[in-house]
Amino acid sequence: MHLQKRSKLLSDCFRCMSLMEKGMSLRFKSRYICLTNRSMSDFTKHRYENVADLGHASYIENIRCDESDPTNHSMDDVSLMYTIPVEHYKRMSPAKWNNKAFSHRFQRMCSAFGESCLMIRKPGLELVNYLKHTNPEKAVNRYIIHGKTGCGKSMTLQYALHYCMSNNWLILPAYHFWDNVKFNYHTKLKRKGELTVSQFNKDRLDQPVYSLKWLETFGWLNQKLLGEIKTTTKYIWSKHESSEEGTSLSALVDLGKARPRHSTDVIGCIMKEIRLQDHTTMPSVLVAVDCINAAFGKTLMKYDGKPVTTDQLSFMCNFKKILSNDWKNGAVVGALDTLGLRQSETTDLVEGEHPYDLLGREGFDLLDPHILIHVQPYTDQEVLAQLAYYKDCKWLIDRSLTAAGEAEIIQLCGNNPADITNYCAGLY
Amino acid sequence: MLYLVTPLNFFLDSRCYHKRVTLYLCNFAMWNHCLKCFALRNINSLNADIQVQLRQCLLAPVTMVNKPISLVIERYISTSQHLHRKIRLMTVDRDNVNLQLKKQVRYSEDYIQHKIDEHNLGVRRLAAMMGEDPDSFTNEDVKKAIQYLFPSSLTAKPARPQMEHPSVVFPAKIKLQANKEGRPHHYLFYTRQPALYGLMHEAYDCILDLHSYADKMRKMGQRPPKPLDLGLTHWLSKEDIEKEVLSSKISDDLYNQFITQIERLVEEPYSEKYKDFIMKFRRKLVQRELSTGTLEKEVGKDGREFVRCQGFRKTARADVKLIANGSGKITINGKPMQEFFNIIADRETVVTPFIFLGILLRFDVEATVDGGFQGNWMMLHGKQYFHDGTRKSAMAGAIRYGISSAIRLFISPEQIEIMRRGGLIDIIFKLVC
Repeated sequence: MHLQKRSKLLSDCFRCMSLMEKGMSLRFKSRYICLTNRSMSDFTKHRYENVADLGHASYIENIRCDESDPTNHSMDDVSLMYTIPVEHYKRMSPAKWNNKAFSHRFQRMCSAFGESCLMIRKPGLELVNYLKHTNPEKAVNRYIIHGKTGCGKSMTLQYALHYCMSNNWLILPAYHFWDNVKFNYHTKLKRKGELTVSQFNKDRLDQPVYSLKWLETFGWLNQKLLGEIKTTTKYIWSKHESSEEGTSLSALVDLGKARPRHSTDVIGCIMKEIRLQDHTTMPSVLVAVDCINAAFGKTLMKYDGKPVTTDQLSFMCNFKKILSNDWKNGAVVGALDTLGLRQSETTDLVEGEHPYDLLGREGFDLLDPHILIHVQPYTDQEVLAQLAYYKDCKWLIDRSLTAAGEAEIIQLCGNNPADITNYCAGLY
Repeated sequence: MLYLVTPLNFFLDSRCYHKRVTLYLCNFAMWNHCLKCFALRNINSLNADIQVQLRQCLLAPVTMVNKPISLVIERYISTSQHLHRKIRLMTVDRDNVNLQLKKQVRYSEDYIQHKIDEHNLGVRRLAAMMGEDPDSFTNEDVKKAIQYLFPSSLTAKPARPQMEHPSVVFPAKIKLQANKEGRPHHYLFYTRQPALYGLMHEAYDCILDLHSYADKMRKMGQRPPKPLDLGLTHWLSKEDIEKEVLSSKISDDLYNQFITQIERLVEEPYSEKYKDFIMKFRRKLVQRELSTGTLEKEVGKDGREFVRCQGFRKTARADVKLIANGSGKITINGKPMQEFFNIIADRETVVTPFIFLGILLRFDVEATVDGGFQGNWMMLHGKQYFHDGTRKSAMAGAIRYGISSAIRLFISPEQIEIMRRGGLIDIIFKLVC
């Protein structure tokens, strides 16, 4: 036994010297040099501990609103987050295909959190108040949402849409209207099938690919209401196909999906029915358009070597008729957008990006008279509510909730909602 | 410095040529050891007389000196076979072995003092020759005078005529590190840094002492005191330790080892007892003078103080106005920072001085910026397809420099030193466009 102990000691000693000379890592060296019987925990005392104070956001108690129906929201609920029920969210943004109702970042965050929450803000409540007091016997009102990039124009539009959905309105969606005005396929071979000469009017062009998608979203949004609405006239599509009076809109939608050649004409018929019918036979209609200034600008498409104008597209012609105030029993809500514009067009804009510069002469003439709804950046209270919500979802932990971390977020992003979400997505 | 010679071939080569080889070796123990072995192995191929001398040299103890041990091998081999081959010079620098003794005996202090007086006199004479004031004749003037009086076109600079202080010519005395028999004085001599390891052992002795002291106090029922507060000091850097504490260079690992050992001392309770020992290796943060001119505080209409300053980076120039008692608003060319800078990295560069010092949302900034890739000159003369508001990092750097130089008036000098070490004040001005 003694020999074994002695040999161990000697081997340890030799190991010490050889380690020091060979250049082993510092941790082992320090252990041998100090020659203590202490445990490893004494060396790990320098772990980083958050001694700093917590920021304002972590002391907020009221984060969520219990009501999931926007009809019951009031000004007391400003800066609170309410959850959209799962069924409604699936109708608004299904997982089968990406209709660009919500931005891609918002969809990913919702799947991470397991819930979809929107903030209740003043412009949203203003819009919903207007929609509550619509008179179905009078002409349609137009509402235009404008503001700086990233302030929440699309979100207020979706808030109003959720209100209308829960009150059984018929919704005509047009998300990310820039897609209508440019090709979907980037290769020339596939672009050939995107524009075809329409059968109704030879001067115009059809868009079968885009109108198929549009019909899918339209049918998925208004699942049950379409079966109750009936047409008033007969439509002849071709020699052998025709739809008679009294066919439901759901049948029309199915026909359009099955026959892409007639899909844009089907859309035109739907819009015509909406304009003709009254509140007796039809529910209220909401026309929700995101990026409405795409309809009054240039297209990025070419047909036969010549550039295409918006008047040549049949979808656009029918859509502009609905944007006018010739019909009753509904509302038109449109949100402006600057990010989709091409750079050559942005340089022509006046400083400040006034909404009327984005609409142009044509748009102003069409949409006049209208009501402007200005979406402003977050107030200080709303910023803290956003950060408190992230803390509740455990999206932000530890360091970004201290006073210093909060101040950093606020100083860098300002009160811009989009900047805060994009920045906090990279923090811990 | 290393000439790799195959030693066996060298000695067994029987061709006839004159050859003189010098092997300058490094001061590693392994090399010296190899040298010895190699010489001993091939000693039989040498002359009998030289064999005896060699054995006496090599078997003597060699001290670990930080100088190259030179093996001067000379052998002259004649052209004809029947002439006697002489391996004339196979010497080991015996002087190197006992060089310390030799040096000490050779140059006495009086001798060196005499040389110093001569040098001083000579400098004054040189000044008189050149027609200048002898009291204010510096070392550089001496060099220039000698270059003028004794011009030389030699490429090797040590071979040119020089006039240097004797402290450079006669190196400092090296203390005796070993006995006559070769036994070293220091008990840690065979570690190559006895001074450093000696300090570490000293620190460990202090730790053991504190352990027993702490046990005593615990038995008496006293609580341990607060940990040692070292204040605004920092550890000596590696270069400082090499200069002051030791005479030789050390590696990074050793330096880290040394500092962990003393940090271990600092962590112990009751370490105030050995505070003097610890503070030998700590230095205060030095404050230096403001180097970019004078800045003054002014008072505005609201009653808030503000400072104006300029900043630059590459070809961007900024005029920055820092206002106290603010709420963190930053406006650049009339626009808020979040509109002017699309990229978040640029915003972060502007805000780094505040984050570094922990002062956010307390100051307001108003700045006007021009220059760089997105400046007016490039917009007019440059190509048009890159001007989308994203390439503004030079402007951000200019504003950052302006803020960091203006914020010095609101801050203590120790924090200024911290900013300097963070690289916010002393910038390298690069003209890259």
